[in-house]
Amino acid sequence: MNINIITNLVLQALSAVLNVIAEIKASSGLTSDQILAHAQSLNATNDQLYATLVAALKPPTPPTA
Amino acid sequence: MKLKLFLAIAVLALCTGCKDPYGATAKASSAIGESISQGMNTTSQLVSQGTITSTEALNVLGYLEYANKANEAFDTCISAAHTGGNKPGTYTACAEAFNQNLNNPAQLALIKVGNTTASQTITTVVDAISAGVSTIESALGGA
Repeated sequence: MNINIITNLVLQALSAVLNVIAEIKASSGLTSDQILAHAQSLNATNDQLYATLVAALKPPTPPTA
Repeated sequence: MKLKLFLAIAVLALCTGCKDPYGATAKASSAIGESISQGMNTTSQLVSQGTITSTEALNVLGYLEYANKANEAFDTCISAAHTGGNKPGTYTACAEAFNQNLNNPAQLALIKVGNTTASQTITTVVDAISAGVSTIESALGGA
């Protein structure tokens, strides 16, 4: 297996773990209502991220005559 | 595998003794939302690296968006459980519904990709999300 691919996978996994730690630490001083609002905001951000990535990946629609 | 184990332990730590099922489930939702975000970004990177095709990426993203919608429904459910007076079993029912949604075979079929390494990466992310939900369901202890 290519060493660059392995390095990238390790970095991605590490980044994901660090983000989850940051997520939990960031929510530790908040009320439950605030944490839920934050979670809902994350959901909305993910919806936007999905739309952006799909738009970038889908082939352009050919112009109609 | 480490990501899966870590998220499961982290979610379990949110609910030790589970005196606050509302806060614990909200934190679990937040951590799972972050994992979904990571999964979407990782999928995009796999396409950029030429490891998976655009078609495969669109399918994987479709599953992650499906999981995100299931997480949104989970948020709505736990909010209703809270405003409904934190009745016993209500938070567990929310987690069970979330778990069932994530394990929809038709949706899980979307995450299959040809490249073995990429497949392992995607499976790790999806397993982490599923492990987080299973763990909070178990940690709630019927709350």
